Amino acid sequence: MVSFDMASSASMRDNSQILAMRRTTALYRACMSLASEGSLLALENEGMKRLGLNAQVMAVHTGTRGGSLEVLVAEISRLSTSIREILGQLAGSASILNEKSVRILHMSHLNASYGAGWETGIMSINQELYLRAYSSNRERLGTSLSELEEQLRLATRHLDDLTRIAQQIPPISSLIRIVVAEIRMKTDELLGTVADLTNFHQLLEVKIERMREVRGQALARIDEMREQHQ
Amino acid sequence: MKIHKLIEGSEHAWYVLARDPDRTESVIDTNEYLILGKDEAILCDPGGTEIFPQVVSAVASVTSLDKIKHFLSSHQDPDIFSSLPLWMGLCPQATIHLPWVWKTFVAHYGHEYVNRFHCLPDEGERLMLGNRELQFVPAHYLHASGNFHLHDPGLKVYFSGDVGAALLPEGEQSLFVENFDAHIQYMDGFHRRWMPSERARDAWLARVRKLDIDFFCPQHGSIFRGPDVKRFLDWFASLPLGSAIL
Repeated sequence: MVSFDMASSASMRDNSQILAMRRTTALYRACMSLASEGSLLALENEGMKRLGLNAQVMAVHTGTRGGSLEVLVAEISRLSTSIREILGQLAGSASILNEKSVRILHMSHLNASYGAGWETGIMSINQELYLRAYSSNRERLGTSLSELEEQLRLATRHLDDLTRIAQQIPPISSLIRIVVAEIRMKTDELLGTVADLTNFHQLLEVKIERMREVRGQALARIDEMREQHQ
Repeated sequence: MKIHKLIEGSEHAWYVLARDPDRTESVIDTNEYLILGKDEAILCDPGGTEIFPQVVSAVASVTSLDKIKHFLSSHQDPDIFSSLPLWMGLCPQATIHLPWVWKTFVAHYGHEYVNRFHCLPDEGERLMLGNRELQFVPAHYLHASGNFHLHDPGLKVYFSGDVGAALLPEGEQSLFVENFDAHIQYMDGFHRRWMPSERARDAWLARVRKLDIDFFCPQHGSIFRGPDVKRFLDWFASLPLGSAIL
């Protein structure tokens, strides 16, 4: 009976591989988090639509005095539509980010296993074939990282658009206050609208900041992973 | 991981990979079987991702990896073939033989290789390894609802998947069953619980008793040789199964 004793790979999964897996998991989590923040904002934007309706009802009640309210309705509606469109684009990016990051997670696991196999020992006759498969997986990983990076850059553009729109909310709040002063009627609903808009603006800014932060983390992990796999 | 040559004929040989001394405790110990012909090889139940590095290293020590033209995935469990994408990265032209019922399940391990799947019909099939004929033997419901063993009539070796499996304690490293009666304690609970159907067992026994078998090779635990093969079949024949049916 012929017997060969091969070393275990358990001890071969050194710190750099563990670190690589942590980075991949962090990248995956960052992408998931970006997607999740975008979804939460989409829900909040539904509130914006209700604000537009609220102002519309007020315009009908106030009749001829409500001319400026109609301007307000149009502005809130425009804002809500723009936010919805950008969030839709962001959701599209997030969906691709999810898919790509899951793929990268999978390929990183494969890469770690190929690495551990190599360290355990591959007889010379098989080294060329083994390295070909290992490199091929690494190349696919590199391609997926580039595609993910491209999606993150696209998401950055959506975030920039969202930031520009968020900056339009304070002027609309001011416009509401002016209209309230002008029509001199029961304006609880509209003043409530101002409070809601202010809250939404704050939330939007926090979420945009959070998404920028997460996007930055994801890009940093991509750079680290590229460095690791070079 | 240790690789042992089990038996060698004029045209092919059986190897068993077993008893990984550095296996993570949380991972069940498995045996992988390599049937190595002159120009091609089949790897039976190549194992999970966790043990791929040890298995590939051991297999690469006895053959050129591009000789592996076939894999058998006896059923769908992760310890059977969750390493599928790693092996297919190395042997992209290989064929994966598996029970048809598990095609879409095994695809979860690597859907991009589904075009390399060969779905075995319920009644089983022959496989030619060079000039040697091997037989995929149906063992459905033992334990999986689609399950195949592999018989080599030439060298009288029978790969039996989970049938004959034993959960050996630490320190019990014997590759072969040395004392059948003492070995029963390691396989009794496993078979009572994992094997659900006495009817399926009886049908399988009727089929397998007609085969000529010198080595009865389970995926876990020790290998049965010579008279211990019949001892096992007799013991299994009288065992109550499906212990968790409440």
